[in-house]
Order: sequence, then structure tokens, then C-alpha cells
Amino acid sequence: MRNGRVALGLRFVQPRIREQIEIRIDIGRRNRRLGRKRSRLVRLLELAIIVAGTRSMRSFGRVRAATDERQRGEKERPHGVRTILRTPLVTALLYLTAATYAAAAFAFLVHLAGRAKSVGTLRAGVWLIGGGAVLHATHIIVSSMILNICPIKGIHFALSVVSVLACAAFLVMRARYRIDAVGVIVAPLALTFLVGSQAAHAESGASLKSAVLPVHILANLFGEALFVLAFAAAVAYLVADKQLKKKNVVGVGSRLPPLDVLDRAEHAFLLAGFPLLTVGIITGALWASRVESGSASDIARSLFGYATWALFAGVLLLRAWRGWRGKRAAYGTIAGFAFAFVVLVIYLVRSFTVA
Amino acid sequence: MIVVVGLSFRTAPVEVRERFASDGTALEQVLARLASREELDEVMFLSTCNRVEVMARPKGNTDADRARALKAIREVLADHGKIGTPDLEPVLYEKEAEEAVRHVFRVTASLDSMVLGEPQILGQVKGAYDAAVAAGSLRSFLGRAVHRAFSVAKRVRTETALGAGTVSISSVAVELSRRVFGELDERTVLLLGAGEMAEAAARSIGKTAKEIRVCNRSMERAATLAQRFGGAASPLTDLETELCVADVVVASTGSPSFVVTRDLVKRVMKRRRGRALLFVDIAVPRNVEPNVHTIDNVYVFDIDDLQQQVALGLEARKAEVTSAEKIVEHEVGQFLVWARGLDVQPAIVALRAKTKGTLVAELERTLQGRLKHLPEGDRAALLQMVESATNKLLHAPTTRLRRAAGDGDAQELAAVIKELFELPTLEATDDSEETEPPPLQ
Repeated sequence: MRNGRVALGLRFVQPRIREQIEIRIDIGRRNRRLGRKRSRLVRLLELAIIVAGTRSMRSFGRVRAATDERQRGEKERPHGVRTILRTPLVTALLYLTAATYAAAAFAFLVHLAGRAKSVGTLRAGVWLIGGGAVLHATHIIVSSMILNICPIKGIHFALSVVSVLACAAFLVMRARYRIDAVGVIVAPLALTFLVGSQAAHAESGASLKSAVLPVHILANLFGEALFVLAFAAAVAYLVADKQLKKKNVVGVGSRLPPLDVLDRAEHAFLLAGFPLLTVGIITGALWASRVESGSASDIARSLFGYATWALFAGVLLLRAWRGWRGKRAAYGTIAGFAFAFVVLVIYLVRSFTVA
Repeated sequence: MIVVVGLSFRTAPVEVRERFASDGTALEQVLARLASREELDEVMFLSTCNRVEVMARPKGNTDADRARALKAIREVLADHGKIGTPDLEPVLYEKEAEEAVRHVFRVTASLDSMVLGEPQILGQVKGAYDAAVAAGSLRSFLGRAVHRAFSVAKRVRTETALGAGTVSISSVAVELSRRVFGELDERTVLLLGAGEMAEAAARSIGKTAKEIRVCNRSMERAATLAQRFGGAASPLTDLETELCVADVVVASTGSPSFVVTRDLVKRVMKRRRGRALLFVDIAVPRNVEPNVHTIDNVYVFDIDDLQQQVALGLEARKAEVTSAEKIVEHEVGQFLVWARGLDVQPAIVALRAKTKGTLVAELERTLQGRLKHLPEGDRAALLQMVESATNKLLHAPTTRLRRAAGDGDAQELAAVIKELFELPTLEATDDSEETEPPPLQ
């Protein structure tokens, strides 16, 4: 075991692969210090990804190149290297995912605009969202393996993962609440997040050196996914409400879920997402205090984060306390989601400026 | 082929139609009387409030047979309506062959209904079909035609929007409640006013609701109506409390001024903690102040709004007629291909019988003469050879005839074949004469 390298006591790993793993897991001096504190789960996760990645990516002949580049990068820039990822497989998956999401959005639009109550387009939309989510998840796994980056690190993957989680949550919840038509908002949002993630380079930067950060990221990812759904339900509610207030019974509104169903779904998503957001905020604050960074983007990010929390807290409280349902709750949800979105955009912008 | 004789709201005024109104036993009697007529081979009797129709297949294929069948049906109908034939004839329509098939398909698909696309007619035709099957008056031909009509109706319903939208006040009210609350089985409907309109509304909207409550100026009438729907009654003074409980309010009081005011609803909404509230105001003058609609989570629809939706719904259905008719036309074509195929069936059967008969007879003679030394196995092989020779020889003429039948010019070909091969004249009946009509899904 050389300095800064970890020898893996994994007998079952082939010697050749083991050698590559040993090269790849260059934790660094600082990492090594914190590494001991790292939760075993995170380490296992990373290990699993690396093993799988090494095995499957050998055929791409890129392992050595990526490793070299990474090692060089880490020497030059301790906070991480940015890699533009363009292998044919990853690119194909990316475009295919985007096309599937777009097709899903189109199917839902056709359903809403159609005259007849066509179940076919609605079902097609749901299936396409499902297919898109599977492709998207594959894309994330493959590219994270090639880059050798844990998929919850960095804004590039975070945005992607949120969109997959949102689609998955939609697929699970749509049957329970019968809100299939809400997919008309979920699908374009998923597409937006996917495209947005491509704007940011994958970074191996802020590594998961403590247990706080993965918790922070995971809580926020799941919370964000639920807020995507709450936002979608809120928008659908406002559209349906407007239609009814205009006394337009036959239009788009007739193919959206009932108002009350949308209102309750939105509330349920907020209620589920809020504790996650709270955990995210607390762990974020903890992490920030440890890192002691005071850049403008960090401050703005925390401010918007607190504002998001306050808005969602307000929406939930006022609903319970003053009976603020329907339109007011929908506007509050949309505003809260907008703030949460701003936080993500700040991450995105930062990933540019640092690069 | 089939014939249809009947009258409908298009041809006969209600004074005539009501003479044909009848209960179940009367229907069975008419059907039995029709089935017992010599002139009719298959028959089905359809009676709804908008139409009375006999669909039948005459015995025999000639024009004279058809005329006799039509006359028989007219007689039975005149007897059933207790109306003289001269009075009946002007309101009757008679359709034959292709036209009759198209008519049956259009009626079943609700293209000929008073309210376009209404779903009841399909059930009524199914009822008539079941009755005819039970009476044993349906066999494969008419049975198949009606059966086809069911799948035509199903196609029209799923492939067009002919049955979509809302085309009556009560269905609009139900649709509105669904739009706000989804399923109504957890919801309370409040009838404000206890008149006939309230009762009619309760029957449609309250069918699926959890509870129906009645609030009326006169407590007595409220109680009577509430009892009928198993709900609670209350006087008008309790309106505010009632509004806090209800989800859908159907207002139909005769009050000259607004019963439900904006201030009242604002108070109520506070007590309801913002839960949505829907007012369906079918009263004239209106019971609910119009600006109640501007309160958050409160929706008010008055009689004009509902009427407008009905008009829109009907218009939307009319726009679907063309595509529905296209489906009907296509299916009529398909059915005729099948039916005409039956026409050439006797010629095919006869040709086959003659060819095979001749060959087998010749073979038998040779086997008894020159080839009588052949063992049993060889004889069987020769017989087998004759069989496959017949099949090969007749394959082309059979398929050509069937194809010609599909195009509608098989009669001539069949006649030529009969002439050339000196085939015996056979009764033109289908080979599945004795089979049961297809079962209903």
C-alpha cells in the first residue's frame, strides 16, 4: 500500500481490475483524514459503482485515459475536475431520453387538446414518462460509471437525478391520486432538468467527505422531486380552476383531474417533501459552518433555501390554520418551487464560474 | 337479405307512437305473433319510446317473398297498435337489403336517435336481441346482422366522440360536480327548494352522492322530499349551517330575491375552512347572487350556463356524425361481402358434389371391373387421390366465386357455372342454417 492509495482487500476481484481500482481510488491526503469518518454505506456505494464501472467500461478503452485525466486534475485543482462527457453510448442515451420526455409531453398535450376523452394518448404519455425515466436512469448510471463519479455528487447529476425521481414518484402516485393528466407538466419539467443538467459539467469536486453531505444531497433530491410534483399539481389546479371560473366546461379542464383531487395531491406532495427539505436545510447549514465558505453564491443559495423552507412552511401552516386551500395554496406552492428552482440555478451558475 | 319495417319519432307523431307503447308481456306476444308468421324466417322486435321496429329475414329470396314478408309485418304492427292499415302506412318506413342493414347499424350506434349519441338505445337493442333469442326467432343471418350492429356501436363509441360531452341539464350538473369533487360518493348534496326541479336534480346528481339534504321554506315539503331520498330536512333559517355541511348545492326555490348572498357565502367559507363549494342554480329568477362565483373555491353555475353547455355538447356530437357514418358504411360493406358470399354457397356446394360424385362413381366402377384385384390399401389411396384432385381442381373456381360475391357480381357467374355443369337448382340458404345466433359478449 503506497501513500495515498487504498489497497482493497477484495480477493474476488480479478488482479487486473484490482490494479485499476487501486489506481482510481486516489483519495488524497485530506480525503484520507476524513475518509475514516465516512459512513460505510457511502464507501460501499462508491466502491460498487467503481467495480461495476471498471468492468463494463473496459470495453470503451477509456478507463486508463479517464484515470490519468482525473489524477492530473486532482493534482492541479484539489476541488475537482470537470469532464465533458461525450461517448456515443452516453450521447445516444441522452438524446433518446430527451426525445422520450418530449414525446410524453406531446402525448399529454394531445390528450388535453383532443375532443374525445381519449384514454389512449393519456396511457401513451404515462408509458413514455416511464420509458424516459428508465432511459434517464440508465444514462445517469452509465455516465457516472464512465466518469467514476458518485451520481449524487455535483449539480450535473443532481438535476438529472431530481428529474428521474420526480418521474418515478409521478408514476407511483398517479395511480393513487388519479392524476395522470398532471404528466403534461411533469414531462416538460423532467426534460428541462435533463437539459439543464447538460449545461453543467460533471464535477467530482466537493467530495462526500462527511456523512452530512450525502444526507444533505439525498434529502434535497427527494424533496425537490416531490416539489416538482406539487408544482405540477398546483399548475394543473390553477388551469382547471380558471376554466371553471370562466364557466368553460368542455375545454382543457374537462380532461384534467378534479379540482379537489389536485388540491389534495398537491398538499400530500408538499407534506411529504417538507420534512426532507427541513433535513436538507439543517444539514446544509451544518456543512456550511464546517466549510466556512462565504462566497456570494453560497450566501444567496442559503438565503433562497431558507426562503423556500419558509414559503412551504407558510403554505402548510396557513392551510391547517386558516383553511388556505385551492388557489392560495397553489400560488404558494408555485412560489416555493420557484425559490427552490433558483437554488438549483445558483448551483448551476456556480459550476460555470468555478470552471 | 333482411327487411326493416317501423316507425320512429321522425315519421310518427307521439299520438301514434304512444299507441305502440307496451309492457314486457305485450312485447313477447307481438314477437310470438311475428315469429309464427309463415312469411318470416327470422324476426326481432324493437320497441322504445321513440321507435317501434321489426327487423326480419323473409322466407325465400325473390321479390315476391319480400313483399309478402313486408305485408305480414304491416299486419302484425297494425294489429299491435290497434290502428287501421291506411292510418299506419303513411308513418311507416320500410327498408330492404343493404338499406335495412345500414338502418339497423345506424339505429344501434345511436346515429338515428332523438338525442344524438345517447347510450340507452344500445341497451334497448340488446334487450330486443335477447328476447328474440329466447323466443327462438333468431338464427344465423339476422342474428349476425344485429351482432355486427353491436360492434359497430362499440366502434362508434370508442373511435368517435359521438357519445361524449353533456347534452342535458342534469348531466351537465353531474359533470360539474365531478370536475370539482371527482367521485361524489363522499359528498353531500343539498337541495335548496323542494319542488319538482329539485326532485329531478336529486335523481340524477344524488344517485351517487353520499347524502342528500333538503332545505326549504316549508319544512313539511322538505321533509317529504328528504324522506324519499333518505336524507335530512331543515328549514330555510338553517341555511348557513346547511351550507357548511354541503358540497354541491342545487338551488331551485321560487324566491324572487337572492337566497344565497355573497356575504353569507363568505361567512360560510370561513367556517368551511376553504373547502370547495359548488352551486348549481336552476331557478329563475336566480337564487344565488352571481358574484358569489368570484369567491375563491366557490363555483356558481346558473341555468343559462348549463343550457349553454348543453348546446355546446350537442354541437360537438353533430361534428362527430361524419366519422361515425364512415364507420357504419365500412361495416355495412363488410357485412354485405359476407352476406353475398352466402349467395354463391349453394353453387359451390353443388359443383363440389357433382365433381366428386362423378369421379368417385367412375373410380368405383373401375375398381369393380378391371382393377378388382387391388388390395384394400391401394383402394384407399386411390380414393384419397380423387379427394385431393377434386380439391385442387375446384380451388380456383371456388375462390373466384367467393371474390366475385364480395364485389357483388356473383349471381351471373353462379348461373353460368350452373348452366355449364348442369348443376341441380338448390335453395339459396346458408350452410349454417341451424346454428345458434352468436352469443352476446
